[in-house]
Amino acid sequence: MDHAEARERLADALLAPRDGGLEAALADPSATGVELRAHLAACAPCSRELDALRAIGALLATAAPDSLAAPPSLRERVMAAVGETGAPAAAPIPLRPRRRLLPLVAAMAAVVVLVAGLAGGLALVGQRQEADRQVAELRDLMAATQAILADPAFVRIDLAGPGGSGSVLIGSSSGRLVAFSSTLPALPAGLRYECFIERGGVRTWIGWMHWSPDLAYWSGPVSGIALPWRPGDRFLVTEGRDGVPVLVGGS
Amino acid sequence: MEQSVDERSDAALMAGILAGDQSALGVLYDRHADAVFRLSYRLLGDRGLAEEVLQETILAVWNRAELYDPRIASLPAWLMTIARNRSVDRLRARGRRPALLSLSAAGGSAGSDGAALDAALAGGRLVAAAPMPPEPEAVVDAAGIRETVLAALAGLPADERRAIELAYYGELSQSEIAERLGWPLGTVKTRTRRALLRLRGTLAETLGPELGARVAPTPLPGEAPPGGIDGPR
Repeated sequence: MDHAEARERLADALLAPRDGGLEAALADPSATGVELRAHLAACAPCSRELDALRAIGALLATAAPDSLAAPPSLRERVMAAVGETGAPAAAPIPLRPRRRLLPLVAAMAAVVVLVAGLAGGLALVGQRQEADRQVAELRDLMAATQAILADPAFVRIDLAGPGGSGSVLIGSSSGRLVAFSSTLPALPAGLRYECFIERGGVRTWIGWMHWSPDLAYWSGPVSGIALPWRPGDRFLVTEGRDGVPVLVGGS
Repeated sequence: MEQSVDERSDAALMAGILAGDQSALGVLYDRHADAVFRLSYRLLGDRGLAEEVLQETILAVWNRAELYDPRIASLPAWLMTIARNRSVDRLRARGRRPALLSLSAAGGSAGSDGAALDAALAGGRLVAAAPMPPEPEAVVDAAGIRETVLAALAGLPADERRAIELAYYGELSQSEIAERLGWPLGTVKTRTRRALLRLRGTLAETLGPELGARVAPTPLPGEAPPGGIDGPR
């Protein structure tokens, strides 16, 4: 892929937000995506062009028209989530031995160190900035994980399924949750791994997973469903909002 | 979204929500969800994230309705505060600082309300459910950016403007734009690309040296400065 093709691909992606925009083009697992990433990794000017297009995207978003509306389907999901939070809280789940978590945290730390090491060795400014960003994200994830481990009522759920394996940590006092997997394969453009908690047969959407190298994760406060975690609750990761679960745990 | 036929005031809705009335929350959603979604989208530039923020904002109202104080802010202003803070959380989580916007810059026609709310926030008076970001300087007061972008869009030839707006805000594919406007597909491609180029050129000139430089076209390797010959392709 030459400069002109790479720039054309990026410009077209910026103007195709329904397909996931620039970030989807960068994560595209097809041969075109591979060639684009390879070109950007080796071409500092085109990496700067990518940064410029990201800035243009942010600027265009500021000018979104007043007619822009929330998707109609969202109302039902939000109100279903509200219905869930109205349920009375169950008794806390007993703690599990904390030492079980140490290998997991060590594995995440190893990923951070690995990416940080790669970042140090990268020659191109664009590559280094991207790696630095990933390191920052992973450090945020580590910090969130450690905060949950300090929660006196945290819960760990192991995930398994066609997507491999993963883990969920829930701080029942803080209401924060991290979910991550290092085995999930990359998805085609426009698709994301979506996280849900299922209680009483009703799924509450939690959020979609972000990507860092070899690690898919979600981290943030749980606001759609009442914590603590209850016996019978399940955590699901699906391919797309309406896709089949690829990771399940907790039942 | 159409205004709900339910004419209860915002204050009456909040009273209902405090009493556990989900229908009141539904009316509140119908009345304010679009504005919350728009604000989040303007801040985040991502519809999926804006949907998350809208959901969290409505849930925060449901779970923390007792924190709302109408003496401090109107209900829309309170909702916008929660949405703004949740959006800033996400920008931070993505390792991006919200370098472009203040609430008043993103708020469109609600700008004056947003400015008043920014002032209230600066005084530390608002709602535990939506804490002020610990780095208030991260939300740079950049009122005028939105207006500059709107002016740049307005300055495009009408066909190019239509093409880029349908693609970016309407989320239509190039084929769908071609069908809707009755243009050949090649014309859609040409016009959207030209629109983007022209927009960048205008913004590079009108956004000031720092922001303008961030959006200016990047020369290709070996390419001469503007006016020179093409570099290797």
